[in-house]
Parts: sequence; structure tokens; C-alpha cells
Amino acid sequence: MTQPILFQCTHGSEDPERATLPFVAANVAANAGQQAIVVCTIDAVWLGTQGGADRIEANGLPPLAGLISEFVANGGTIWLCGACTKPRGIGEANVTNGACIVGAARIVEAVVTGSPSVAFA
Amino acid sequence: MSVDESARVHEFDAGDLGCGNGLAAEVRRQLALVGVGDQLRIATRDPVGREDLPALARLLGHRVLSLEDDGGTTTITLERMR
Repeated sequence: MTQPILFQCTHGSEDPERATLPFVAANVAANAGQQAIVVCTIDAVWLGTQGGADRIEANGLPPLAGLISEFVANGGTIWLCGACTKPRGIGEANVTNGACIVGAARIVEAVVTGSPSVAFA
Repeated sequence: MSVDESARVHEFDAGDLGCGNGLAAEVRRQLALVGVGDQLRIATRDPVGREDLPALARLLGHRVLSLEDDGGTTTITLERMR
């Protein structure tokens, strides 16, 4: 079995294009039968909370909330950086379906066991 | 850290330490204090612990014996392997 592909996402509603693009790519991977994980850090952790992606839409890209639902329905997973959720007051009760709070060790383990990582600057 | 000498099980309450404030470093330090073959039972109230501590243990070459979650506290038991 191939290792999941990690897609890095660091932006939320303050930059709709940068918030959406990692999910576009990750959803393509999921549709192509690949295991895909979007790793949300910094303000992107809001995207894994209930209602956190509502009303985020970049020109030429699909509305993010629907895209995330489709990604999760396709088997995709969302990891929320625990060091980023904590100072924002985001706990497990706020996390949406398909998302979970993880720390750096989980990400490091994925990378050292072969997961490729895709970043969008 | 408390120790049950008969079972060689060591207890460590990590409190609300998380990824951003030293959970991994402290767990590694606690593992270094127990003997090879001993167990370290860690309680954590940070949600990161459930995903991160098993990963950390595997990265360090130790064994995850159990993981319990009561909804507020995660308790994970590790065996020091080396």
C-alpha cells in the first residue's frame, strides 16, 4: 500500500486561494485513488472546525466548505496542528467530520515512513 | 513520576502539555529515566496525545502496549525497548 500524500495548508479565510488550493489538489489525489491528508497549520486549522470553511471562496475555485465535504467523502483526512489549535481555543468538540488534532510527531512519522509532502507557498 | 516496583510500571502525568509546549521532549526524558523493559504509563489531557504519543513511541523504537481514552484524559502505556 502506498503512503498517504500530505498536502500542506497554512491559510484560512484571510487568503481564500491559499486556503482552497491544497484541498483542490488533495481532492484530485483522493479521486485518483490515493490516500490524501491535508495538514492544516497556522490559521488553516479553522478549516477543520464546524463552519470554519463557510463563505470561503476564491475566484475560479470551488466554495471551500463543499470541497472539504467532497474530499472527506472521497476518503480524505484532515490533520489539524495541535500547537496551532490550542492557542486558538479549538478543541476536539469543535472539530468537523474527517478532521482530527495531531502533533508534530504524527507528521514526522508519516514523512519518515515514506509519505511525500506537497506545499503551496 | 511514581513507580510501582513490583510491576515495573512507572506513572507520568503529562497534564496539559501538548505539541507546542514540550510534550514530546518530556516524554522522551521520562522514558530515559525508566529501565529497558519497564513500562511508562502516561496520562495526558491534551488531545494531541492520542495521535502523537503512539507515533513518538514508534519513532523512538518503543512499543505501545495500550491506549485508553475517557473523553478527557488519554492514558497510554509504553514499553521501553532500548
